[in-house]
Amino acid sequence: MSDSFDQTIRVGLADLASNVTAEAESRVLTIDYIPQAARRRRLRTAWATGSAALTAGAATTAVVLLASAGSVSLSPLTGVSYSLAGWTSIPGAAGTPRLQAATKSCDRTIATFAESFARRTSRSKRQASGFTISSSMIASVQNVLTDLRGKYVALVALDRNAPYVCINGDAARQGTVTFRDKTIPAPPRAGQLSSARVVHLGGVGYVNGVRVTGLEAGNHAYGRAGDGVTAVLLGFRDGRTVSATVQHGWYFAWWPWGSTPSSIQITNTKGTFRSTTSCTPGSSGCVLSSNQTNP
Amino acid sequence: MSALDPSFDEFAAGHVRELLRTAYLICGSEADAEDLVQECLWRVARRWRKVRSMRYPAAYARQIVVNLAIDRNRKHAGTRAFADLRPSVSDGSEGVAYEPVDDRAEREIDAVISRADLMAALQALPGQQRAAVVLRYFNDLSEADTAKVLGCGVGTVKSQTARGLARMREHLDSTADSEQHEKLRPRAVDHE
Repeated sequence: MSDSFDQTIRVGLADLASNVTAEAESRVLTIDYIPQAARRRRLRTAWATGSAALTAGAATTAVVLLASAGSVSLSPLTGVSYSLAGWTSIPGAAGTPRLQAATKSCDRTIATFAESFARRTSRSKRQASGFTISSSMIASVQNVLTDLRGKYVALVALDRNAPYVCINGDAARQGTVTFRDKTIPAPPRAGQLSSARVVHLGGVGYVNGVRVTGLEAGNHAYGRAGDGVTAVLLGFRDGRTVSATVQHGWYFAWWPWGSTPSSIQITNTKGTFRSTTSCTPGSSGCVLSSNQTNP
Repeated sequence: MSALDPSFDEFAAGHVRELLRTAYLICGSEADAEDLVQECLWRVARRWRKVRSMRYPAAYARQIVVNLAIDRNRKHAGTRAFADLRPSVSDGSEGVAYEPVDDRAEREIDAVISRADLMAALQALPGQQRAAVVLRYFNDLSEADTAKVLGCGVGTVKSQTARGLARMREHLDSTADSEQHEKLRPRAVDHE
């Protein structure tokens, strides 16, 4: 092997490595590295035998991981599942271009999801499962909430019958997880929250029509927020907390680990109230309810 | 970052670039590199009291990243194929003749291609060969230090590096040949 080739490789690798952006460094450094917190590798939640009365039925759900056009990686929501780089427990604000890109990607993913579902499922099964997506429905999807955590933008959108949740990775990955529920939760009273749907980000997914498994990466929770609710904080048994985004009568949060919240804290016009929660299993996740009467 | 120990923050800030770049070269994806380095820093943070008393904490962190990257490549060997599933762009693109605007544009295109080719050549190597090449030629480690990181003997590092370089050269040469061939091929032009 000639020395000149060695040198070419040396220079070439240094050049290639410079592809890693300063933003990537910042994202990695903004993570809270808390050595004391025992991270839970078990991704399936041990469901609490909840004492709460739960009204929401087991909605038919689907979790689909789709690679957007030009996608080069499956990894955004796989890989090191409990520690997605750049995720933050407190939501931030996204710039307009990033939001536009995420919205575009999510719209495309929802459309692909609908088409893919239609191809794989007979009409009768679609009707039985509650999925009756049509192009007019997709056109009528309206975004109601935007949640930004590091480089991840999540959107909660509504069509006439059901909410969608879409989580979009950064531009380099274009990874998108899309979820569509069966029903829209009823609006709660002022200052209160509806039960939250907690959904596993993963399980079984389809990437460009190819079925893949083992995509578990974490959970997301969403629900309706009554008038006057200004903040929602989800607490976990290991001490971690995740602030939800509250917008337009909805709240939403996602987190890159498999457990469900053990407490929920609501801030409304009367003050801040905290209560323990229980999660009753359903398909693709569970329904999270407070064990106490809402404030 | 953690407010528990400022010395950990200092360590992480001082080494994150090298760790990210090493991980990126071995796994070929910036996003995956971020995940791996984050996992690495978690592990270092968990044992920080012990790690900071080591002679070379950075070497310890590098070893974690390299092992994670090799493991990741092994685990995702089956799913990597999905990365190649891209929407077909062939429809309608035939019959389009591309002409560079000027020499500068041509040079820029060459530069982009060669960078991509180099990454492709690197990613075509088996995990340990790739790690050996990266550690030797990017991190500039000695053969002995590379052997320590990879947990193998110096002789193995020598042979893995030599084989890795040979394969990369072969890959790059064949790419160059096919590009040359491509340039010589008549272009499809719409004559209507």
